[in-house]
Amino acid sequence: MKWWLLVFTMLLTISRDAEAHRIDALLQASFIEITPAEIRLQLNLNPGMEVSEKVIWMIDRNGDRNISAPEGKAFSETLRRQLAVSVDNHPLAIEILAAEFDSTSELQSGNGTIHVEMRARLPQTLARVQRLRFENRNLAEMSAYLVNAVLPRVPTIRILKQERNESQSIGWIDFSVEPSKGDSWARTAPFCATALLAAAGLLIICRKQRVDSVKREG
Amino acid sequence: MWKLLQAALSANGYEKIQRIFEADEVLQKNDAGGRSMFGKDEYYVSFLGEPSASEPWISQFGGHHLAMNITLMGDRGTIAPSHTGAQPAIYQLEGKTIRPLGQEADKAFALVNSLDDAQRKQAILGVQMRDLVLGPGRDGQTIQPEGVKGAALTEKQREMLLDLASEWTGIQIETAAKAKILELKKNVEETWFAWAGPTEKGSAAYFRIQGPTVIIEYAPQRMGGDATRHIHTIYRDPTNEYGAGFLKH
Repeated sequence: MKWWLLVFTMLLTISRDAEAHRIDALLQASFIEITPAEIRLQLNLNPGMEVSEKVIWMIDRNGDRNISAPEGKAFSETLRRQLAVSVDNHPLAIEILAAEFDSTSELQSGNGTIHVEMRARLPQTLARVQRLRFENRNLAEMSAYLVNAVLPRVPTIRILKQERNESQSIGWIDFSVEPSKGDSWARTAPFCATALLAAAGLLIICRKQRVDSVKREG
Repeated sequence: MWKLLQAALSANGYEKIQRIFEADEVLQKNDAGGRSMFGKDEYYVSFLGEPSASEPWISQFGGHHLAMNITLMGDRGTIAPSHTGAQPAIYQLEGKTIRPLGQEADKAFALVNSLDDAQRKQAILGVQMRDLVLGPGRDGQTIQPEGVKGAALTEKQREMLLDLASEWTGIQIETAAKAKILELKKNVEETWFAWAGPTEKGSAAYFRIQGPTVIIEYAPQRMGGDATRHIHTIYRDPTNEYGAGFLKH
């Protein structure tokens, strides 16, 4: 067997078999990755055995013990509506990119995972240091939370500080963005264009006023 | 299988694995009402690749609260990623009190209580940690390190940090363990120690060690009982999971 195939097979097998089962809570672990253009959210929901039936009931609405694509989509949408992401107090729109559900029997055993990936586009800004706020209000009565910043993959993003409330349903991440050469123009272009338009507008108004003044004097 | 584990692990590592294995049997008999997913009968072994003296291969052994991935490639070896846990984390066997992960807890409490106020302020996160962040199923995930950095520790505290980490790195065969701890020593200034929970010895507290080539987490489980009696841990090497790093060097 090729070594890469062997490792890939390993990843698939160990991920499932090694899970020490959960019992009494829905663990919602959020990983937040900041890129120059967007915030990526990875949510992994692991229902414990004692709450799994409630969670399955919320997903499998027709009760056939299969999670259909529309059922998965509806659950992901409910989850999305219970999340809030903002940067420097500006709320960001969150969109769902993908969702994967383990079978209902795996979820029932306390070993199953619901994985949902989302993103929020970062607004164009010149601020070098920004504060992200993430909140997960989903199924608070049965949940335990974890929230962590992912180590940035690009050198232009740096995580400066992470803070959380005690339950970890809310997390704050201070990060800095150092524009790369290419990024620098891309990030500042909208502001430069706006400034140029404003300057041109002022110039036109001034010239028009001068012409009107000359006409009146004439 | 036990002979293979004895050959592939250190003496301490082999003993630790046996104690975790026995704990699961105690759980099956005493606490779980004989549920079929626990106990000695529910441990499995698999082999990936063919056992070889030079080519890479993996033996995987585990069950509830144990997942050992022993990768060997010639004279090199790694056990990353591996999951150790214990429930009950303290039990009696043949008149002796057994704590499979007792050294880990004792050394961690000694380290956190050696920190001065400024170090504690950095190390203690002030949050609830209900489980492992990078536990099973989180292969390839990387997180921003937190806590107090090795560079901010005293020489003595760095030694304590490495000694604590050796409870995981020392499970593997002695030659591999020695190479690994030397590597951690080289990177100790870039290694972080984070804590969540009370610092009184014997209480339920989470900790994490994170460096360029290591991630270790220890997480007591609040699952309907005393969290100090139910522990999950994970050992990872972001540069060499399943021996992937051996192929690059």
